Amino acid sequence: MNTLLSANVPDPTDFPPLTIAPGLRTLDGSLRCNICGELFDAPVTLNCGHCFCSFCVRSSLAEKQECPACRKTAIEGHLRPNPVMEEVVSAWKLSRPYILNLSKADSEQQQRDATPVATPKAKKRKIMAETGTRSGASTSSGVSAPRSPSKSKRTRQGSEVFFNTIPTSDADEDEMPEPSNASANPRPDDLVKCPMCTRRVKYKSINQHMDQGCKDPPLESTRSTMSDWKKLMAGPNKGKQKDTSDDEDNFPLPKASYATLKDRKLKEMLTEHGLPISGDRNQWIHRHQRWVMIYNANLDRSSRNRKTKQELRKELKKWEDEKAKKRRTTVEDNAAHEKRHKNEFAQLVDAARPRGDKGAPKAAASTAKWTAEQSKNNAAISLSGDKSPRAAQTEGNHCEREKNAIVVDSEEEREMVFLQRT
Amino acid sequence: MAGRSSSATALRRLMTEYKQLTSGGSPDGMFTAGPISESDFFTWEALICGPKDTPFEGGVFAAKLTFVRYVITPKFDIYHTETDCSPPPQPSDYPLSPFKMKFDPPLFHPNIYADGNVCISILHTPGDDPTMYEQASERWSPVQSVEKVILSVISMLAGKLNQSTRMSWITDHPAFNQEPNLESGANIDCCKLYRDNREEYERIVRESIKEQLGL
Ligand SMILES: [Zn+2]
Ligand SMILES: [Zn+2]
Ligand SMILES: [Zn+2]
Repeated sequence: MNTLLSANVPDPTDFPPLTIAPGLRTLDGSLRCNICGELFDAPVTLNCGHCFCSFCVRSSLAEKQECPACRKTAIEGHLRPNPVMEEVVSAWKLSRPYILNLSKADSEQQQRDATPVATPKAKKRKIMAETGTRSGASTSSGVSAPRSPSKSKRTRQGSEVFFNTIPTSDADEDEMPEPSNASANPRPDDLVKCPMCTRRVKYKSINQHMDQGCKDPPLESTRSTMSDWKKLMAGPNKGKQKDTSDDEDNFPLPKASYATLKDRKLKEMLTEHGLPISGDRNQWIHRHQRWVMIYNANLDRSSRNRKTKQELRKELKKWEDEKAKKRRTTVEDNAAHEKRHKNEFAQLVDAARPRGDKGAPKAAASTAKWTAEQSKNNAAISLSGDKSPRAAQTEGNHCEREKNAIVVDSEEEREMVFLQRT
Repeated sequence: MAGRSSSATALRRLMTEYKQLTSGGSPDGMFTAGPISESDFFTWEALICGPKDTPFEGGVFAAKLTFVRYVITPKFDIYHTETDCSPPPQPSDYPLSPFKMKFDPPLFHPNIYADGNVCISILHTPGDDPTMYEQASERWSPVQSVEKVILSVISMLAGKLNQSTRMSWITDHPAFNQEPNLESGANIDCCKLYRDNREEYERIVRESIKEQLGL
């Protein structure tokens, strides 16, 4: 169980409690959608002022036309994108790991200052023992893994600093340097070594770099002014150059009253958006309904954060695959259920992995060709094939990750490391 | 969250809730809740302490929480039928839909079925109104959570307390001010007893707890 817990879905309790770090938990919590519990994705505001992810609230409104928080009557037409909140969330995603590091270092310092030398050690050991119990796999957490003594000394140059900012074991307690919290952490513009490809990348963009499977050019020395210019010249919708057809489609899709639609029209509506017409009428309707929701929610992102139609199609496919797979599952007896569940669970965890805009391998678009075969629902294959390149790399690299205890500590970066081992 | 399937969303939210319950703890330490096994995050067990100053005081009650969606057909109303004949579960679309809660062993309470299933408005979606007596404001909504439901159930066990003994965690939300619903309760005999002979009802509850504790 605790392996699961330490797999770590980021949430407000990552930060120290009120008494130690006033406001941080609340801050993190108030940037989260109360439906999915994650940092707002395409935040929209209802008439009442409550804010949710566009997709979350659209799903909820489909069930009941009211604000999920205050229950005031609400309809999709009321939804207004909240670009300021979107901006705040992007900034918070960027600064969260940094602040997390600072607050951890700070609260541990406070503990040390406040208590006699022996006590914090004991405390920490207890915590580590707790996170390791039951499954007996404390090392798989990637968080509480003890560092080897040789790595424990803090060096002040380049990448080493990056990996050693968080004291994770009590072995080197006494070697810890003076407070100097801030200076120990790299500044956003400092160059750090990427643990995957070992090239040097700016600290502030390391998450993004790793998300993209180390494919982006390393930001060595010169700023790529050329590409900046290109972006500027490309106009306001420059976000996704490869899918220029999206530029015109800035209007939400209307809801259809499917009951009155002929099959032919329904098929047209699907092909119009490059969606397959496999399955029966019922499936067409569900497919189209879901597409409208995904599509309109995407429009609530500011243009630079929008996904391409191709990416949206992949999301839709994933949803259908899983639905198809699950539909066949019925629970006959507990033992069999449990057995089967174990596999499904692993896949689900994989699917649940944090996945930012950049997480999905965009290059794999060609493999995402979606034809009528999809109804044969090889969901398992598609799920594992869907792993970002980072996940694949992690398998090979997990030893190194353990040694380093915490590589990157951000929303997108928290790998569910245990997945690869269970 | 648009990038995930609904059960992946459910899983992630459940993981978050579990983490928060574990690191934050429950108000006054009145309950614990978490998945039963590592292989199935969609079945939880909750252990609930009987609220103070009520006949349930001193007892610890286990309940199973199931996060699968049951398709409700006219024949199958999960809230008012015995549950072993439920239709096959569908992938969870929690938190769009609520979960199911069942005390095992069952508790003697007007709003708990003889088989242990809990009938409480916060676990009913706005669409279905099994009792016809519920306020829409007390129903499930996706911002509800395991914690809120369990607090609501504890409040239901406690009944309406007089102001002086109200526990600190009871908010003004209607879901946290549960008087047992006697109009169309889940356990008809219990409803009658509760209404007509409260002392006897409380005696039976106390007896069952003593029995449970082996006294
Ligand atoms: Zn959301
Ligand atoms: Zn509202
Ligand atoms: Zn790299």
